[in-house]
Amino acid sequence: MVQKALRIDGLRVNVEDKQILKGIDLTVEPRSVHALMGPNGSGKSTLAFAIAGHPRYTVTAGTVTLDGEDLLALAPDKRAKAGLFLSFQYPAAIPGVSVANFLRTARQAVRPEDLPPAKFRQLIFERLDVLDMDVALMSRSVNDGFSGGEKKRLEMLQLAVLAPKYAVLDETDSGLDIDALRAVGDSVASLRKSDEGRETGLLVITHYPRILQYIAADHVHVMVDGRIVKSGGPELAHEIEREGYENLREEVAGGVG
Amino acid sequence: MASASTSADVFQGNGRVPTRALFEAFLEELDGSRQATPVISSEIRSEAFKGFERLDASGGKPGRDWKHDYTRIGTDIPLLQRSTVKHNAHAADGVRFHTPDTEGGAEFVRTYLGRAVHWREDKFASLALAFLEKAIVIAVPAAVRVEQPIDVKYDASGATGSSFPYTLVVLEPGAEATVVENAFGGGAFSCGIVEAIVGDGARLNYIVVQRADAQSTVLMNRGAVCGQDASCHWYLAELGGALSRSVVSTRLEGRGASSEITAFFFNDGDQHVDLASLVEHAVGDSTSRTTIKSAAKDRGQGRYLGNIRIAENANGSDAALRDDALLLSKTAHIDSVPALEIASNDVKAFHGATVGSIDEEELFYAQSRGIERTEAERMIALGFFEPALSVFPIEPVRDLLRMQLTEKARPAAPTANG
Ligand SMILES: Nc1ncnc2c1ncn2[C@@H]1O[C@H](COP(=O)(O)OP(=O)(O)OP(=O)(O)O)[C@@H](O)[C@H]1O
Ligand SMILES: [Mg+2]
Repeated sequence: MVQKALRIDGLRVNVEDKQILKGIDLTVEPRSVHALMGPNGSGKSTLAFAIAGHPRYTVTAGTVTLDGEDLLALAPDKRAKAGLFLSFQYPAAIPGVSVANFLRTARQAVRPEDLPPAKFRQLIFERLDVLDMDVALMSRSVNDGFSGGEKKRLEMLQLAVLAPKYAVLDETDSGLDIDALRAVGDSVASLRKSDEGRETGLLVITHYPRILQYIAADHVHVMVDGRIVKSGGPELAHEIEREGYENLREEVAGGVG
Repeated sequence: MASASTSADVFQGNGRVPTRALFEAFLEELDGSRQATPVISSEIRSEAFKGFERLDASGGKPGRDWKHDYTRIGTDIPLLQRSTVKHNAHAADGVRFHTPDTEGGAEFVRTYLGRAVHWREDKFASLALAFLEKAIVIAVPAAVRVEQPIDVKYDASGATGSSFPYTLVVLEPGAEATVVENAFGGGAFSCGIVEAIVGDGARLNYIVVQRADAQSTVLMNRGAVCGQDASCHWYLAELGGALSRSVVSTRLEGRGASSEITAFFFNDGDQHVDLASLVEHAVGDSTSRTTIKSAAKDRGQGRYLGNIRIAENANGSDAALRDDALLLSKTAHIDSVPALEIASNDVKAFHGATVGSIDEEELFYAQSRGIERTEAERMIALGFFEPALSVFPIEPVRDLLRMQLTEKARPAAPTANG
């Protein structure tokens, strides 16, 4: 029997012939929370996009499996159907497509078995409420003219509505005010208490330990220059906040040289 | 040529005939049968026909893969067909609906013909007038507001002939009305004119839903003139036909007048659409907004000619023209040719245009939510039209258009030889 997990092994990724990820190993188990930190440009978003199947990111070596299923062989939509979700650092706007329509279409695609319209509406209202979002948003175009914070909340609304097996949150906390941050925390917490989201494993990419007060991480990893250079428990996040990445860079440099 | 057999030939049978021969037979048949005071004289018809033969379709050949040759279109056409026109105009609402046969109808046409569509300058407007067979007049008396949209249906579904519709809308000062022109079927060849006279302070919404049969050629000229503080909003949805050439214009003749034109087309298969809009600010303190959304997939070809003219001494005019084109396949093509001719100094004139294909980041975003690529493309393409579509003022019309666009946005069935 395969171990249930989002499993990344020896992953190397190129962007336009430049190697960005230089061998990543990372396993996110159901229900677990892994935080991924690292300086700007170290390759965190690259990892997120490569897992989700963005066409610009070329996997040159390694594997990514979701509960044993080879994700790299699948188109992006099939990866979502397999149970993967990516909360974008910079979500795209889709003019003329309403949030309501988008959510309904996505939910139907990911969970075709599903929910009568009345139940679906109820689900949306509950999730909106936790995120402290206005219903009026449902008739606006997806991310079109949204503020940074609104975009992140909409990512969280989608996470809550799609209830994936594994979710990668790429800097969902960046640019959020304190209330929004709490709302995001509440939303994730309520998802993980729900029947659908009980098993959801999370990979939380962040620059700040603050988000981890709301979404408690079991493990913290640090990426520098396309490699995970250190892994540890929650205390590692605070260590980084105190000391920055300089020591880690030196360790890496020392290791290589 | 005996006139009895001629008349049968003109209106019956299949196949195409040289247009000149058809025109001569048509004139003869009119001479033989008709009213003492025809709506338009044979002299005008003959002048119009000569104009058709002499004039070029303006703008030349639209794009390199354009398949229809304007110099040949109309040189032979199917036999004439008597089109059926249905409408729901109620005298009770204050609308007067005329055909030239009814009292007053011919009078309206004689008064206003050529006022809003300068048929002498356009090859196909000339052709439409040469063969004008039946005219419709919708007249709304001063200060009457018609609540209910006036539906006019040209229905010749399945017909294989030629038709030449002419519609005249006259809103007297302060009148308000919404007209919905729903053309489907339309015959194999349809060539027509719509003229709207919008009196001082009157407001006209004119909606066109063009859903001609897939094989049809549709050549329409529509024009409005607006008096002081009058407004005219054209809404055009060009959906059907093998070839649609659609010319729409508004001339603002009174201060405070305003024009809006909202139009879209979406060519799939081998559809060709040639859309031209012209807004003339003849006086100052007039405003215009023109919004065009065009998309093409498969081997669809399109052209948009957008013209704004601001006359001398039309200071205080405010004009905006925005057109966006979306290409959904490598073999689809859309040309967008805006032209602003501004002869006054103190005016506001804005023009913005985009042409492009679906953004990969948007596609990936939708795909990452489980939505298949083709479905995502369909969704994004429909979203592209939404800003134009959502301003159409009647909900059932919006629903119909959304349905039609959804249908068009579906991936084409693969062809046998790829
Ligand atoms: N499309 C691209 N073209 C060229 N270089 C790219 C592209 N995408 C990413 N890169 C490069 O890959 C490296 C990693 O970028 P990535 O976005 O993964 O970093 P990150 O760790 O998410 O940074 P941040 O914390 O600033 O979000 C950077 O040097 C970046 O410039
Ligand atoms: Mg990043």
